[in-house]
Amino acid sequence: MNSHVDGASFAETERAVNGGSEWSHLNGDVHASTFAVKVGLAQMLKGGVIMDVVTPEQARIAENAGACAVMALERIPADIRAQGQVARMSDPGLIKRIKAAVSIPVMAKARIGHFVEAQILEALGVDYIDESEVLTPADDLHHINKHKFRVPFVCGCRNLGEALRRIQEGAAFIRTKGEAGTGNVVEAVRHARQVVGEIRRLQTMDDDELFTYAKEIGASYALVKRTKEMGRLPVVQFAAGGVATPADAALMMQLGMDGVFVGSGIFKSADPEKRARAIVKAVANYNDPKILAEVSEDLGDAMVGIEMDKLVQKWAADSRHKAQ
Amino acid sequence: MESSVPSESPKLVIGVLELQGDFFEHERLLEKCGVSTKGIRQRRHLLDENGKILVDGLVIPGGESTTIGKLLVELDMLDVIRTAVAPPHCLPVLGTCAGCILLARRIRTFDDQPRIGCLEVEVERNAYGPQIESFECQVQNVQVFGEEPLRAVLIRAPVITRVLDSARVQVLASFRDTPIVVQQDHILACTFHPELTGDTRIHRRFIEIVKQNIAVERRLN
Repeated sequence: MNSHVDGASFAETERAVNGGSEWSHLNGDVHASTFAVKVGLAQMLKGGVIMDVVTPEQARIAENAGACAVMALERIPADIRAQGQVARMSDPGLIKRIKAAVSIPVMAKARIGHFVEAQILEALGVDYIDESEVLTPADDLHHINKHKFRVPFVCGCRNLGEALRRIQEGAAFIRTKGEAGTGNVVEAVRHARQVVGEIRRLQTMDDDELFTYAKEIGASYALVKRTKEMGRLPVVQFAAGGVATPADAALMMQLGMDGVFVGSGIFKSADPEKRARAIVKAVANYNDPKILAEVSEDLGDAMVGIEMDKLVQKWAADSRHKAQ
Repeated sequence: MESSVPSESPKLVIGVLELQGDFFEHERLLEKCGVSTKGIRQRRHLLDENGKILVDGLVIPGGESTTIGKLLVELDMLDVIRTAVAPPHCLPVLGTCAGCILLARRIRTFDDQPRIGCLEVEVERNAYGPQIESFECQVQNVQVFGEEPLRAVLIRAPVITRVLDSARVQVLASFRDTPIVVQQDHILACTFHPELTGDTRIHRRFIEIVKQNIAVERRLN
């Protein structure tokens, strides 16, 4: 799926998003927070595993297992589900302690539309913000205008239109929504297949058809055209939401994702360290069933999965947020 | 990502370490320069069963240095690469950002981090601060890279804090008085990401190094 991409391709998407580099900040002898710098960090995470952690100790376990970044959280999605309360940005103190514990990038989640939580996370110096449906939305109609920030953002999507709308708002990195905290990969697979399938169909379209298609999926024409040219999403795309095993992670990679987020799947399992290491290795060799078999052996119990029809609340197909 | 080798002139084959990071971008740029690439994810991709090295050069991409280092150990590849890069085999190697960290002899604060450690410099990881301090700048060395400055994209980049052997390590470009591109014989490293721009000059220099160090056969015992 990467056939038309070279190193500069992701950064060149900027022209489709805002027609130039008006958002970059000149600061002395350097240009800070350019689109290239924002999408560039996502490019560096490719082929890697980003793990949810709730303590500095878990963060160190994740780093030692080979995570390419950690997501600092107060509660992992499985516990948010179990408790059923309003879920917000984590305590800044916790984020600082996790930042101090590891040398790899640290991400943190802000509620959808909650640009003040995002301002706080930026002030804390987190490396990426996840504007996440896992937290309770703060604005049911709008997402954060991510162009206004120097820190880059990752956002979830279920289909191509949603992905391109988030990129238009300034997201430099996209992930599938999946259903976080379930240990069930079916929704992540659905969303990955949906995006990849839509792009495949887009590539067979005549250029004259793109105007109407853009309108149909609610995305800008420039980004639809850019996606057709690249033959893939114009920023890095990871899988997220329900990945629990090395096989799940490799499945998402073989479906064309650039890397994997693992949330509850690691620290809700019997042997988190071993499982984390196995998933990292599985993503690095996702096409080699022999290695996948080796790393899947004797991992202990995976997190207990939840069937989709038993779910009280589906976060991805969330009625809490009207403007998807 | 192997591309076909034309029968009339055997193309150079550059291995690109594909464990984690932006290896794909390196492959595209190398192919643009007219060489073949070979993805390296396991020991057997680098060595055949007789110990013969299957590539003419190796690129260690940007990414997370801790992740790549740990995978090199777990997949039993670190010693092989270390031996291949050292004399007498002298396999040419290019490291960018995380790749530069993995090549460095010393790492401040994290000196126990697994790495190849063949480049006589000391680096400090993530020396400019968190991602919001990442930036782009321009660097120039007219004699080496020509009139046009290089566009350097630095992402949570390391700084080369010390050159440990100034007789061997040549500083090819600097930013704010610290080296940003260095060469030590057949080893080329930079703290930024030439693979994130369309500019092929760093990669072309590496290909020249590969050509100067072409060996009939490199066989490890």
